[in-house]
Amino acid sequence: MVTLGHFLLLSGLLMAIGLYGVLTRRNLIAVLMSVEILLNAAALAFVSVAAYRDPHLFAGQIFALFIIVVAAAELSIGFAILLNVYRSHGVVESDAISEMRG
Amino acid sequence: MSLTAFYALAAFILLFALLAVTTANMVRAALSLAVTFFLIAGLYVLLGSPALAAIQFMVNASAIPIMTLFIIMMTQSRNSPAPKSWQIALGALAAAAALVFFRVAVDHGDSSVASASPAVLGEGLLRAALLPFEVASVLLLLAMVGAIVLARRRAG
Amino acid sequence: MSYVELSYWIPLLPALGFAVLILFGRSLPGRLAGWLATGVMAVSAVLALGLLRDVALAAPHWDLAAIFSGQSESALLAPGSPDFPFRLEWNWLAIKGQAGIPLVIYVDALAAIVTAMVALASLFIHMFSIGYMWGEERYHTFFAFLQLFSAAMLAFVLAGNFFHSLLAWEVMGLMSYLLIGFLYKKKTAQQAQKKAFITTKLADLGFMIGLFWLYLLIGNFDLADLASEHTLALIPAGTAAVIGLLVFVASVGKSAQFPLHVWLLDAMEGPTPVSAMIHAATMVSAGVYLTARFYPLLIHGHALMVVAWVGAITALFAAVIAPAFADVKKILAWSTVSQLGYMFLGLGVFGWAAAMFHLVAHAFFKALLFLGSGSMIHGAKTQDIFEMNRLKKYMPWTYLTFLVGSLALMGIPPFAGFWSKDLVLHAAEEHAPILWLMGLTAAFFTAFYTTRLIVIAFHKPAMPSPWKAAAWTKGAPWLNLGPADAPPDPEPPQGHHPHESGFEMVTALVSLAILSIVVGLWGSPWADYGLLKLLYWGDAPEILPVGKLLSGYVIGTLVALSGIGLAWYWYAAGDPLKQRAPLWLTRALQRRLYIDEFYYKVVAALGQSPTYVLAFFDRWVIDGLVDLSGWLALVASSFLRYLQSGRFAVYAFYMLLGVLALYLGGIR
Repeated sequence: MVTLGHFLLLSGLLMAIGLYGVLTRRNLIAVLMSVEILLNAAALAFVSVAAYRDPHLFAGQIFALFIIVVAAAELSIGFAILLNVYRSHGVVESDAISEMRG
Repeated sequence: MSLTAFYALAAFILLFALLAVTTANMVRAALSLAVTFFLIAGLYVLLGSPALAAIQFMVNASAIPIMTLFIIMMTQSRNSPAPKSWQIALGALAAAAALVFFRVAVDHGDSSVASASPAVLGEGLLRAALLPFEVASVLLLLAMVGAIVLARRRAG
Repeated sequence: MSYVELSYWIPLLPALGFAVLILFGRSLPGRLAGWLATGVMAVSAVLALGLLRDVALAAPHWDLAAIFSGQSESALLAPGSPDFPFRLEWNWLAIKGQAGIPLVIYVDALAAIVTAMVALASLFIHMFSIGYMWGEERYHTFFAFLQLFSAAMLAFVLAGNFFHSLLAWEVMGLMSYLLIGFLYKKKTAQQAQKKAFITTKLADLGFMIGLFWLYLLIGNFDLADLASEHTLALIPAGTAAVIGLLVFVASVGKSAQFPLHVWLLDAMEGPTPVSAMIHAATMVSAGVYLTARFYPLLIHGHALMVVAWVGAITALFAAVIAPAFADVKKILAWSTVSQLGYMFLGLGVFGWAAAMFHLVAHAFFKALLFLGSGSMIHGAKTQDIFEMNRLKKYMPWTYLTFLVGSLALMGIPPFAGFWSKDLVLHAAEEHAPILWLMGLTAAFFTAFYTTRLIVIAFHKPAMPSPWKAAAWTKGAPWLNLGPADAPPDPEPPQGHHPHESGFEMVTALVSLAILSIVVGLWGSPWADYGLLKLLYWGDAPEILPVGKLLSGYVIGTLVALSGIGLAWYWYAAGDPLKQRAPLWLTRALQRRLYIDEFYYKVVAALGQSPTYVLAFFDRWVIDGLVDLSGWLALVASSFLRYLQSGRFAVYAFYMLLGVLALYLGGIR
């Protein structure tokens, strides 16, 4: 018997993995990939809650759709920025762009 | 809903997600990410949303990995450098903290899933969420234009 | 449409004129800026005269003979129009549930008369300036300032609400500052404008404190309300005296009364029309007017004696000093101080209407005298009366009109000053004979210095100025008190032939001469004291015994004639250059009895001594605190900077911590 709890726990674990990736990856493309995992974890949570708790409106599913749209937009802009970083710094690694250091 | 199917999917999702965030080889990581998203599409089927599963497959499991592979090649990022130890500590701490949010998850005992057919989903999208839908299209347009402008090779 | 309903246009028009001239004046060709300003003032003056007519028709009629003989109960011949003190109200600052501060125009006889006086005098000063200021830099700016000066004075006179009086009063202070320093490239003008501003500003504090204190007591700023029995009953007599005297301090500053007269002499640094403006139409009249408006409070507080004494002392003191000066404008400035003293003396001895009569009369003949002196300076190219070369011959119109003004100043019948000054002296004789004697002495000196001025400037040929030869007449360099009584640059060219002034200037002079005669006659027994009747308000304890009036007139005339006689004997018949007073006396008078020096040395030193303590406090405590805060920021940042690692992973972690904090903090 699969319950809502199963899905939410899976979503939570994915979120933890995504966060771990965001913090540990030094290649910025990999960081953005980790962000994608985070967003998918959130979408999964939405969809599962909607499927179990909201049998008429499916607001969660619609929300997941929007998350996918926003993720796509974010990623395209993020990659465009990374391309610029690559042009100016030669690499896309976080160590290279530490100009914000205090 | 099959418990076996869920556990199998969940196990592979976690496995590939972990691979995606830990593999040094960037191409492998991107491919692992594609697999992860593909398996999540399977979860959506289990959750009764074939339409969402299809979109997940098309966008997250196909388009985004392709774009990622492109950018990996364009920036010549073969490997992601190994994380430093402080990063690992920070990441582990953050992952543990994130799980705090989901400590409520185990309490839910609901078991029946309502399936959302593509027709119903489309209906909801174009009625209840019409305005956000249109806004999202504008967002995509802006993202497209923005990405082109940003990535354009500047003269000189 | 009555003129009353249009009355707000009287100050508004010049204010608009100011706006137009200051914004677009530069692009007006030729003398158009001057003519425009004059035209605006002409419309204002017509409105003011219309207003005066309305008021004269609506005011109650009194039998002055009955009042003079003390039977004021039966003196009311015909009650005035029921809406008589006219009132226009505009509640511009309406606050819900609060009374707010309405903009009130209050027109009683005094306001109407003074408004007409200000508008007319201002009109002719404008007209005179068209020619006088032609060729100066910032021609249009000068007229813009004159316009706003007039507007502020008119608004002040018409204000039915002391709060707005205060606003207009302050605008006047600003304009006097700007106009005195109009020739701002002159160092002396800069010092003079600062001196005027600081002195009057210091006095203004009294107005503000008094006004707000009054508000605490009666809860409004209304001028008409202050005169009512009901309101006065709310104020204890002692408090009324203090408030009244605080406001009187402001009047003393604005009207250049002893001991705050110091600024007026230096104010001569402004162009001559400005002096005329300050001395006749605006500024100094405002001080007297303010005290007249606070009259009920001063009576209630039994504080009038202070006013009378200040007035009498000033009248005498200034009249005594004036003969020691050679600069025509400064002599006239001292005469203004002296004449204003008469007005305060009149107010102080219950001669309210007499003082107001003198205010109006003086405004006209003093405007005339100042414009006349402007014409003299314009023609003779010098301000030193000794250097003026028989102006009578070269400037007949100026001579004639100046003579009319001088006769009015000296109090020779039938000119304006005679009627008004003698009424003031009568009131003084009735209440305080010693003040009457002081006033008479001042009248003697007035006649003396005025005759001296006329004889030396108009009748005698040019001669080397004794003031220029004597180096001690100039202020010592360390003194730095503003202009000494030295002739102004440029040096008069040798063999210069004076010439009569232009058409606008002569027209203005003649008009003012006629006006000063007319106004004097209006208040004379020949016109049945028409002006005084209009000014009379039922409660004023005006006591002018008609029986003594004739003897007073005779005494006043004799005193004036003796002053003229002495001056004639000394200066016209004798050698003007002969030193007749002991040197120490001349020197003391020249230095203005060392009052300016006293202020500079004693008051300034007293004011400066606490500044050393304050400077120490500032340097070590305030600066120390500032340095400490800077040092703390520096130390803190030397630690906090490590938070800004530049590594986005760390930033992302902070973000996560923030989200976690929100979650744990209850936003779920």
